[in-house]
Amino acid sequence: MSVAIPSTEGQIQLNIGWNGRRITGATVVSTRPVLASRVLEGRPAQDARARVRRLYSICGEAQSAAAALACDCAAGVEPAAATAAERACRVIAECAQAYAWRLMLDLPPLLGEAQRLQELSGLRRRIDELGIGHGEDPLAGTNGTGWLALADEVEQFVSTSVLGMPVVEWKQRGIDDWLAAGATAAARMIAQLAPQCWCMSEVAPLPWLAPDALRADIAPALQASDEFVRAPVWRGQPAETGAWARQVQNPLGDMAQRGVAGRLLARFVELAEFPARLRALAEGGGDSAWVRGAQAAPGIGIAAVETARGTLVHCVALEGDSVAWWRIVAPTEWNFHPAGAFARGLTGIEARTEAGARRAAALLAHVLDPCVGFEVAIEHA
Amino acid sequence: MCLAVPSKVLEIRPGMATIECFGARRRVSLLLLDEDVAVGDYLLVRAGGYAYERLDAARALDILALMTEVNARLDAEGAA
Repeated sequence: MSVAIPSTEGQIQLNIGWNGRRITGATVVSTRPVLASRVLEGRPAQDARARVRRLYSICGEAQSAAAALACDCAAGVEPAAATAAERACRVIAECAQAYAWRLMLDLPPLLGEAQRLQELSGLRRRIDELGIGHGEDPLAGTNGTGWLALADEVEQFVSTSVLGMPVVEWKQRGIDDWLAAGATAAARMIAQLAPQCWCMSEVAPLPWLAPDALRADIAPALQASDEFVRAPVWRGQPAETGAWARQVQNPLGDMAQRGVAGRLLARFVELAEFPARLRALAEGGGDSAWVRGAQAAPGIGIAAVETARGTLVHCVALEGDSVAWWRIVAPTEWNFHPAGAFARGLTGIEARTEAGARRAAALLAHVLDPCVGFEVAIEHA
Repeated sequence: MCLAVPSKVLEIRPGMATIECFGARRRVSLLLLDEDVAVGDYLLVRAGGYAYERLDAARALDILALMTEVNARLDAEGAA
């Protein structure tokens, strides 16, 4: 549908080698403006944070939270508990919306299901009315009543539109039984993916980056070279980020063994957890798993925020109140690393036709979920 | 990354619009929007070609100015 992607947004070119029987390899060429954050440098920190919100609107809540926390950490400021809770609520809600988008809009045409535009539109409108995704100052304080309403909204979406049953019942029933019944589009789409024998085991999951890891590993890597922004690595190797990386150790779902289907299933596992997490936050509990940061050195702060696509990192150096340096590592650069989960996930996959090779590439790209458009080109090997 | 460039509506057909920004034209779906869209409005469009938000002109032009600054800075530095 879309032609002529604006160069400012950038896109990813996926070149797939195909020998008539199998995919022989894949290369990723990205025109994403990974150093756009330089436009934040030389600005007062508050102005730079406002710029983040205006620039990075697609995952605006996560970007705003990461920017704010990185600046807090750089300045040696501990966010108030209420602020931290609100940031976590907003990030979780945004993630739920993003999962809904993929589930109801992007994946169905590839997996034999109907798009559900009206359902998606309705969900977005109701979450929008609760204040997610809007406002020049998203950190306006908690709203316990609003967050509980948000939790109810997410639970309604998950139980009705995804699982086809209450969350508690789903957990009790078991994943395999739920999949076998095929009563919902979500279950049927996973069943479509399951026969794809893409074990995708060559690239390890990115572990949860604790504040100490952000301070000791990620911040120094970012300061050492801008290459880390383009092609991030963990312990010297590309890593996969996203719901699957977060949930691969979860005993619910056995996702380590499900290959590409596990990447989609992991999102449903997370969705099932969101209502309880939102209620706990609304009722005054803490939840620092998805929004955390550290001071890497005096004046240098780093924050990591979990998103639908994976771990987002902001690293900021302040000189007084002015931004000296700002770098952002997006989940897309992890998963579409030249030797990462996408590039290595297709090699050896059977594809009897060129259309089959294209479909495989599109499926894997959607499952790994870049935040930009992509084009697939088949190169006959 | 995560950038959505505000695009100006040039033409509207049922459920679709032709939009333009920085010289790039494309057709996008309006089916996710709950509000009416008019020629001259600005839209944010997600990868896949679905408009997901209508912006008022002042906010759109502010964001476009910021993105122009991004482009200029990256061009000057020869960065991607």
